[in-house]
Amino acid sequence: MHLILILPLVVAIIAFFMPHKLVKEFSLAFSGAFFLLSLYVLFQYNPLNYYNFTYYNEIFLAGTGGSLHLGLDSIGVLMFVLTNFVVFYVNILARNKSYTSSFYGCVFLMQFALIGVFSSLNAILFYFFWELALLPIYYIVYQWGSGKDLTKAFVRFFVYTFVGSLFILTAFILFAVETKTTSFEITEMAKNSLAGPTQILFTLFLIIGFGVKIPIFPLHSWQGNTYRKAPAEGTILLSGIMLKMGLFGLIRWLVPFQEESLPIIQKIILALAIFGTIYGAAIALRRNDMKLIAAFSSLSHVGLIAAGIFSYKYIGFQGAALQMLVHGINIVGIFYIIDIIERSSGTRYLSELGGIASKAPVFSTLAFIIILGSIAVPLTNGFPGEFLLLMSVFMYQPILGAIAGITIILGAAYMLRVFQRAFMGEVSEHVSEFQPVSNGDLYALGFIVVLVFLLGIYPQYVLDLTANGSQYLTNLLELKNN
Amino acid sequence: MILAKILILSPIIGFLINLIGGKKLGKVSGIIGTAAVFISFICALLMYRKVLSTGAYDVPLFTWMHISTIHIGFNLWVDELSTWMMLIITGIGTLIHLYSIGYMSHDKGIGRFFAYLNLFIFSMLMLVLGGNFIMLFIGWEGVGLCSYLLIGFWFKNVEYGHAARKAFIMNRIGDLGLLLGIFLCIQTFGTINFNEINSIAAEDLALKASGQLGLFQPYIYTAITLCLFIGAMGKSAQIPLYTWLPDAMAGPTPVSALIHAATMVTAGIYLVVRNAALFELAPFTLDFILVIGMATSILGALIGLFQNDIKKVLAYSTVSQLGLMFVALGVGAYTSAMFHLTTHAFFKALLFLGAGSLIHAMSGEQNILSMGGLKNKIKLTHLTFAIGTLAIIGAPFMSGFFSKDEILEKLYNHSPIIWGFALASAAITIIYMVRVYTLTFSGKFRGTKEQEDHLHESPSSMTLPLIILAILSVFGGVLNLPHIIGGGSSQKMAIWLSKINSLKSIPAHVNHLSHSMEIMLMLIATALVVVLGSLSYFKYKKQTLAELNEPRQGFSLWGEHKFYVDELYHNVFVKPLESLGDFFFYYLEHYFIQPITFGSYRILYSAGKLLRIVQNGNIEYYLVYIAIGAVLVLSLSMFVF
Repeated sequence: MHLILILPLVVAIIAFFMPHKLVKEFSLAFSGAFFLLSLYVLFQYNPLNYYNFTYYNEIFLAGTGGSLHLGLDSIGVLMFVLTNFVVFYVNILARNKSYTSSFYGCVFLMQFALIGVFSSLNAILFYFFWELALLPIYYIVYQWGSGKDLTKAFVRFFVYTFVGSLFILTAFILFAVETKTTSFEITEMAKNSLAGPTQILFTLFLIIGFGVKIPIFPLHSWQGNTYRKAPAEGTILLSGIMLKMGLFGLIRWLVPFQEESLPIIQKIILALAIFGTIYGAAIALRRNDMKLIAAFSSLSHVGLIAAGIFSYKYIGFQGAALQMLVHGINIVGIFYIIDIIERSSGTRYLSELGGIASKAPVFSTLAFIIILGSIAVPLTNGFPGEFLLLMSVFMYQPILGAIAGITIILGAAYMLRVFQRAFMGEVSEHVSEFQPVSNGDLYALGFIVVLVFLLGIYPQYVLDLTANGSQYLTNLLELKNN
Repeated sequence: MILAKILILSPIIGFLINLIGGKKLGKVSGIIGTAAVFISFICALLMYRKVLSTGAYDVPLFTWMHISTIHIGFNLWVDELSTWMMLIITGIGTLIHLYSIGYMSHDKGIGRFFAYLNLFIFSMLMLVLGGNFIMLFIGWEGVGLCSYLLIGFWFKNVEYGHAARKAFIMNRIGDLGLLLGIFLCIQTFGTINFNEINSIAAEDLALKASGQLGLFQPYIYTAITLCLFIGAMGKSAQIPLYTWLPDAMAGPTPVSALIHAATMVTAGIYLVVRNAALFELAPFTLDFILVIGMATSILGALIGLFQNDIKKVLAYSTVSQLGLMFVALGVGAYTSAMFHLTTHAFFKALLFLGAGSLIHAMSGEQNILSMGGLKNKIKLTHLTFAIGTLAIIGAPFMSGFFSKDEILEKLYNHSPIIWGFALASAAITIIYMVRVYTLTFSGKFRGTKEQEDHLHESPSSMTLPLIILAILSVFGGVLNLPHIIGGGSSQKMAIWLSKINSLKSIPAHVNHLSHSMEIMLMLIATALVVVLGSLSYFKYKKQTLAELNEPRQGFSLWGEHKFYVDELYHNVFVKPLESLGDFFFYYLEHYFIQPITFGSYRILYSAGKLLRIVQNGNIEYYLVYIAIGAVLVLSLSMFVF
């Protein structure tokens, strides 16, 4: 555990001070190695009970007021692998650009912080890593972002997410003050319970704090502009893995502390999440900027995941865990595709694109399959998770489930529109000088395509992994509510 | 077991070879694609023999998903119904693949074409072989995807792309219904396995027949079956989700024959028959199906009357015929619907392929007003098209005569009024089909000089499938001859299908019509064919080009514009939805979401002070605190290592 956490930090420090010429290959090699290492961890992982983090349960820091624990549970291990996957892809994509060492330093620093977020078993430690993960992305967005009003978008992003995080800290402090507990260890915290108004406040604060990051409607206003202005690598980091921090936070830090079922809050959040799902999809229907479409499609997809979590059902947790992984993989693919298009044709606006399929057939086929994954066609990876999430919401309340289901229609509509406008039709002026897509990029997309099919045909591998965790949460909620 | 695996894998292997081989394979790709489906056809035949001798059997492959107690496996269920569908899919599939070798020989994307076509066969087989709803759903969306790919096959054309997208999205509306139906099944029965659901429904049927309270409330069955039927509406192009099918004619003609006439669009009928026991428990849904089917049947036929594009006429005819099959389902005549599905697959595939041969000969012309007099120019195509026409209008002793007659008879038994409506639909069918035939083959040639010089009969790879389908269209009726010809035992197909789980439990409708009544109905139908057929033949034969090109007025103008349903949908659904998206983006985002951002930010600003988390509400200080904390924790941890 020490190793997989500390190594990225070491690499980050080295990368910061490396000469610019060498850092590219160095980072690529290490991020690839980390990804392989994470796969090794995944295959070694033995899913046990939710709080039984036996595989990695070591004392990280011995202090007088107790100890800080790190550990990966089964959902955490998925997110851990996803972190390494996303960072690897960021490095692959960055090959094509000329970034300074500090960029790579930031990426690895972020990897370090993200692993911390997904493995912290102590609330304060969690908060520390959470904030630490934000710092590098602020720097990346501001330093390498582009477009007009970058500063404005950046300040909004910065203030908004930073303030959002403070809600999380406030909630934890509130918990400690109310229960007079001295330890922020999750196992200790779980022994206490909140009641009455404090419980409501605690829940609301956490929902706001995590909700900004996810983002849940209406807390998403930072997202669209930030995605547009950020460099592709930044967007991939934000959408691929950082928004999973919020979803993961809900599962790890909110669900186990739901003493009373708080049906009203649950209903409101479910309704908001589902409204966001439709809202994002409806907006994506007509936008011209592919990055903006991807941003709102992301809003739509994560809204459904959040709804699945808040339906407080076994299948909802299972679907959420699976879909967090799958959304991470697919959105990396989508932003990767957008970046290739922008590099090769000089534009990412649909009105200026068209006919890429005639120019680059292999690239188009790969892109199409990733798009299929995103619109959840059966036997691609998007379907099993979406199926479980929709079913979970449906079981909670059939009407809500039916409304949430509209997203499968709208999702197909906006995604196929993108494919049709960019890839099909006559070759447009911009596309006529489409640069050939490099083999490296094709292999990178090819690997995502393999994942699209693997997880679509055999999702049970992931579901087996997370089954105990989801069952534990379900039992916990049932126990507390009866 | 092994047969079923080969059956499924063969097309997917063909797909992979053609996809990866791409342009390098050239014309070989057609042979590979056809061979892949032919192998499946052989397997289907052998499986048919096996089912004949030993009955239905299950082929479990692997587990797709466990959800608490529900096990969703990749299971193939081989029974009388799935073998029947398999034979149609792979049999007609092979013929159409063979035909496509000739039809697509000049196209650069021939490898891609056969790859998609093979993928379609694979998906369609999954659909009919799936032992549970998820397997069916996988095939269901798979065929929708292939349909999308093949409609938009000539991807440079923007309009074709629109048609493809429209088809996919309309299908998805239906798919959502189906998905909700599946959720309801899981919630109600705790299983999605067809056999388990059917046995529960059978038990309930028996209970209710003996006057007891059933297992579940009737409204539950109504809800489930309505959801399932919404799925069927999308895939089988019923009102209100039918407008995608005529647009789907943008695809190459073999695709129209295979997907949009013979196989995929019949999936809705298959779905209902597969779950017939559930539908029997929901009389309201059956009535609903009856009404929708009847309305679709008449509307489709009416629009077909006023179209000039030969493929469009055939497409609306398909919509209308599918409507008729649903009417049969609505009165509980499940096997009659399947019978008509089968004969329709024969003659509609024949008509589409004939139309393709015609278009081929006419150098791509699809407007029947520019044809005419082709009788002697392309004899074989003419002969087979004529047979197809006779079959679809129900000329005596052709396959369509028997299947349509059986449905009409069942309808009369149910209610003479419904029979009357169905007869009206059949009458319009006679008129528009004879119109198409006459305008195309009789009279004088109305095309350009170049087209006339270029006229030629298609190669034998295209005519051979026409001949085989023509033979099937003539003799397909023997599969299920009416009572008066051979008594109950002549209904071979009905007997074969009545063994499946969903139909076994349904009490047979015993009250057959008297023989004299049966003959009477047949005579009426025959008289209709003779009178209307000859009337319209002579009417359209005499018409000159000037008369044909006269602008339409009133009702027929409406018909030519498909009663403006597309425009209606566009203005009522598409535009408002797009405006809603714009409203969200330009107004809600600006005037509501963003103020929330800064409002909440200010509230927290003061809340932070109140809670005294830190003394100073300044952002820079927060950063400093975090940095100090980071350094502290890190240095401590380094110390510990």
